[in-house]
Amino acid sequence: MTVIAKQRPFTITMELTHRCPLQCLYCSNPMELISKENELSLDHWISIVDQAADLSIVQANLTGGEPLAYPRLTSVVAQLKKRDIYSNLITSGIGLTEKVLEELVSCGLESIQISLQSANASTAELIAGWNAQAQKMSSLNLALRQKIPVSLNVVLHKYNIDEVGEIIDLAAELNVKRLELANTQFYGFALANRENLLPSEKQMENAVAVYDLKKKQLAAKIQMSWIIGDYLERSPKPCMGGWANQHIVVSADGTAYPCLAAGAIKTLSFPSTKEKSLQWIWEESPAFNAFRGTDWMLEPCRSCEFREKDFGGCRCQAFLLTGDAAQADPVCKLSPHHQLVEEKIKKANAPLASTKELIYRLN
Amino acid sequence: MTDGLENINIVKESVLQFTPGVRLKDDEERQCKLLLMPECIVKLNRSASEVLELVDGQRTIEMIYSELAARYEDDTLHRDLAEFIMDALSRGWIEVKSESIQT
Ligand code: SF4
Ligand code: SF4
Repeated sequence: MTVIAKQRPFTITMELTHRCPLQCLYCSNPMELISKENELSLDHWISIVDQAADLSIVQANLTGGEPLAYPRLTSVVAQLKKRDIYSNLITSGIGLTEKVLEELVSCGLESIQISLQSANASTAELIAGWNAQAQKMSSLNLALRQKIPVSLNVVLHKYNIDEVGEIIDLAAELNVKRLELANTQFYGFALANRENLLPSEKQMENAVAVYDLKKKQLAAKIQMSWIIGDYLERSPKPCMGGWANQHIVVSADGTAYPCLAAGAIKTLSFPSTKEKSLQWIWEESPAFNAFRGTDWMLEPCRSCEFREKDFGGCRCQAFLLTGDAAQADPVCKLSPHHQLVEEKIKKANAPLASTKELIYRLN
Repeated sequence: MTDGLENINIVKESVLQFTPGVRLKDDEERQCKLLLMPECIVKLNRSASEVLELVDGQRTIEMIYSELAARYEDDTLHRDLAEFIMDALSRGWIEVKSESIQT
C-alpha cells in the first residue's frame, strides 16, 4: 500500500452526550444511544482538547444529543479557549437560560447555532415529539441579544420543506444574521424514517425557487446557505475533503470517527480515545486510513476522472445502501447500484403519503 | 480607490472591522494565517492575510491602502484591494464599522 501524506485535521466535533429532551425524527444519533453512565468524564474531555490542540485542530463543535445536558460544559469551553480553539455550540436551545449563556460566553464560547424544526409550533411538535417551540424561540431571542454570533439551523424534509419561505421570513423578522438550511441526511434515526422524510422532487423544485428569490432579496440582511440532501443531489457529494482528511469526531463514549455518520459502517472497527491517543488515531488507526487516497477504490471510481474531486462520494451512504463501504456512492449515476436511489426518489414522488409509522427516538 | 464599491455604503473613509465571531489565527504548524468563523475555516494566502491583518476597527480603507502601497509598488493594488474588500464584505468576514465615517 502506498503511504498517503496526511494533513493535520482542522476541526473536531465533540459529542458531549447523547441525552436530549427532544426526539427528532431526523436525529442523526445512532439508534443505540450511549447512556449517561457511559459518558466521558470532564478530565477525559480536557485531555481531548489538549490533544486536539497539539494536533493543530483550530475549531471545535460542541454537540450531542443536547450539549447543554452535559453538566461540565462550561469547563470544556474554558479549556478550548485556553488552547485557542474556536468553539461553537450546537444546541436545540432547550435549557438555555440567560445565566447559562452568560457563563458560556464569559468562558470563551465564540459562536452558537440554534435549531428550529419549523416556523409553526404544530409542525415542530410532529417533528420533535413534543411542543418545544416557545422555549426554542425564547432561547433564540435570548442569544440574539447577546454579543455572540448566532446561526439558525433548520433541517428540511417532507414535513417542513414547503415552509421554506416562512422559515426565511421568520429568520428575517428575528434579525438572525446566519441561516443554515440542510436537507435531512439519512443516518441513524433519520434512516429509519427515510420513507416519511424524503421530500418529492416537485417539493424540492418549488422550495429552491422560493429560496433563490428570498436569498437575493435579503442578501444584505442574512447570510443563507442550503445543503441539499444526498438523494436529491445530481452528483455525489464529496466526502468532506476526503475520508479522514480535515475532521475528527469524538462521540459521547470516547470512540473516534472521521465523520458523524461513520459509525454506521459496521465493517470497520473505530478506535477509542480511552485506549489510544488522538494522534495515533489520526495517523495510524486502520479505520482512519481505510479510505484515504484512491487506492481503496473499486470501479467505476477507480478510473473515473472525478475520483480526486468527490472521492467516490460518501462511504457511509455506500455502506448503508450496498453493504460495502468501498463501492461508489449509489447517488452517482455511474454506480451499478444507482437504481436503489432512483427507487427511493420515485417512492417519494408518489402522490400517496407513506404509510410507514414514524419512529421517534426514545430518551 | 472606491471603484466598484459605490453600490454599498462605502467610502474610502470607512473603518473596517471583523464581523463578530470572525477572527484571525496564526497557524504555526501550517505556516499561514487562518480565518476562523462559525462553522468555517479559511486558509488565507499571503496577500489576503496582509490586508486582513490591517483590519482592526481603527483603520479606514484609505489607511489600509496607503500602508500596503508603501510596501509594494504595484499598479494593480488599487483594483485588487477594492475587489478583495468587496469580496470579504459580501462573504461576511468583515463589515463597515457604523458611524465610522470620519469627517
Ligand atoms: S463518509 Fe459520508 S457522511 Fe462521512 S464525511 Fe464522508 S461524505 Fe460525510
Ligand atoms: S464514479 Fe465514483 S468518482 Fe466517478 S463521479 Fe461517480 S462516485 Fe465520483
